[in-house]
Amino acid sequence: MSCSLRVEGLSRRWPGFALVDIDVEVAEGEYFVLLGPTGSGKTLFLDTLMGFYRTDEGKLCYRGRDVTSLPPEARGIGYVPQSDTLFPHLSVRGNVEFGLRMRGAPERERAAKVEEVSEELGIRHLLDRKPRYLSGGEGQKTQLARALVTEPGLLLLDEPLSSIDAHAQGELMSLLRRINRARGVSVIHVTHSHLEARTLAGVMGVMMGGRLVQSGRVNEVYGSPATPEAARFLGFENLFTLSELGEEAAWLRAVIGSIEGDVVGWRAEDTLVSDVRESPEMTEAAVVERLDLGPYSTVLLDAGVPVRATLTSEKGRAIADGGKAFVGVKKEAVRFW
Amino acid sequence: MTPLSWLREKYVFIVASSVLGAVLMAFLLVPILGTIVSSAPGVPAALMDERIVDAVYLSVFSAALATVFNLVLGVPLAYILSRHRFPGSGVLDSLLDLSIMIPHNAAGIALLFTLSPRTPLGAFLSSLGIGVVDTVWGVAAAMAFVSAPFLVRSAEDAFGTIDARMEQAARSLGASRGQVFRHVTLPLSRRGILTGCLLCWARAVSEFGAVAVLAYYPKTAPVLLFDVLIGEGLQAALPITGIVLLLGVIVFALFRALNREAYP
Repeated sequence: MSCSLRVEGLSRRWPGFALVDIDVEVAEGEYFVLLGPTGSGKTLFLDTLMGFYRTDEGKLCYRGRDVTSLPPEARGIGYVPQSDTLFPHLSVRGNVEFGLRMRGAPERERAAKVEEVSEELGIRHLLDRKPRYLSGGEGQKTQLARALVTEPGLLLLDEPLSSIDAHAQGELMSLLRRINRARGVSVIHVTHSHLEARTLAGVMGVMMGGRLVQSGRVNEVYGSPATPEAARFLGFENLFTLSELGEEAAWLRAVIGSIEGDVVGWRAEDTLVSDVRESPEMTEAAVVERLDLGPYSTVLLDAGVPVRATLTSEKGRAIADGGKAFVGVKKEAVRFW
Repeated sequence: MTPLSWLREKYVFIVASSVLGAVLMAFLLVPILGTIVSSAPGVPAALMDERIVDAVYLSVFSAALATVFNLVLGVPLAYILSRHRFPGSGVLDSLLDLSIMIPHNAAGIALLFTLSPRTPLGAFLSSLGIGVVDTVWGVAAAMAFVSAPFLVRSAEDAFGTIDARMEQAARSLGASRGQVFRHVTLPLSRRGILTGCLLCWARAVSEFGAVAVLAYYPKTAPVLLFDVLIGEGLQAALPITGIVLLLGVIVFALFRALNREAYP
């Protein structure tokens, strides 16, 4: 598969924050989700890819061309910002055809392409409206149409679903996947939502503190986070530094055995909880808190160390808030660093 | 609780503020409205007086010249100040208001020291046929000097309200910086710039101090008003005062209309 975008050693410093030594490759037609908590530098990374900020170090190649020092308008990369940036003085049609107009495309070509892309995104009936009369979802589709009409090979999406309601989110996710497949456009989708990452990503990266700490296939990243910090963000709610624990965690050491590392972690759903001791490795724990969340329950247990578990509602009902339970861990689910 | 104590407890602050505010409004409006009413009978005749009509025309024309000058140079300055931070940009931004902080006759003297034909700049302008002492150019220069901050500030505020992300989005769509300015920034700040033009023109047309020092002749309406007041007395000056005040009211109405206009 040929490469759409290659980022080599990208670094950029601002007062109080820096993007550090980022390497990314996005193949043609690939859907890359960049996941990270708020403030991790995802938007700044996209802005730097777009050329809104120059790089201090590193190189950006887009479709085999070095674009590191090109201005944004010469890069040919599509961009949908997080906030509503539709031009309020133009109609939806005026917004969608803006990029073509700036490129000097003749009116007939503009009209044909606007019709085509608005049909594809289901906004044809909105073309004569002003942006202030659009819903959040309609506005995002219009921003998407505006970016797609110039037929970029790479589309950068900055939290495209963050400001719209849950129903529209589902519709837009399906639309994004369809566009990615039908047009073969590569996508870098920035988000802090695990749902978006798991639903859309072919390949994903995790950004924390201005560094790309890990990238790979979705199951690899979620299954084996590269660092304890990434693990916590990716849903490893049980994280322990063994050297800081005393005798109270002897059961945990017994379960894990000998490991090459000091930090261990596992997901709440990989904690074993029962009202009876199902195996000799389980230890007795006090149920500190139980929350029923419809089809499942989350439980916080005191097993010498605080352990979180997720149970089906049926099993959760047997674990009484304030009572006792037996706790263990699926050994194969434990990761260490 | 008596009605008076209830009023005192609940509304004393609001009532006190309203009374004090009403006193100020009366102080500002009564002289203007009173003078317009008193001068009204003499206005039709004054509008037939060539000397007065010429002065009013000169004021309106020179203020328009000053506004165009400030528009062409001030909008780019406003854009730079609102979009870019560079060493000294804060100081530059503060210095912009200097020309409205100083006494206007002092501003006229400062301009005279810079633009009279005895200075290098004045000599250069004279060589181009642009003399500023006692000429229309001088009137416009004095007006431009004291009114520039009104236009620049208004344009700066208008640019400041535009989300920089919108301009970035336009660039991502292939627009150069110039195209972004023309197709996005300017249309979105049009109303603010127009308001600035109106404020600039209104300030320019009413200028007396700087104009009187740099270019007493040809006489603008405020200079003529001063001239008639000193030479012929209050009654003779009243019709010109009425015309100048009416001009101000018209500009005020335009300003209000512009600011009430909904976004198209």
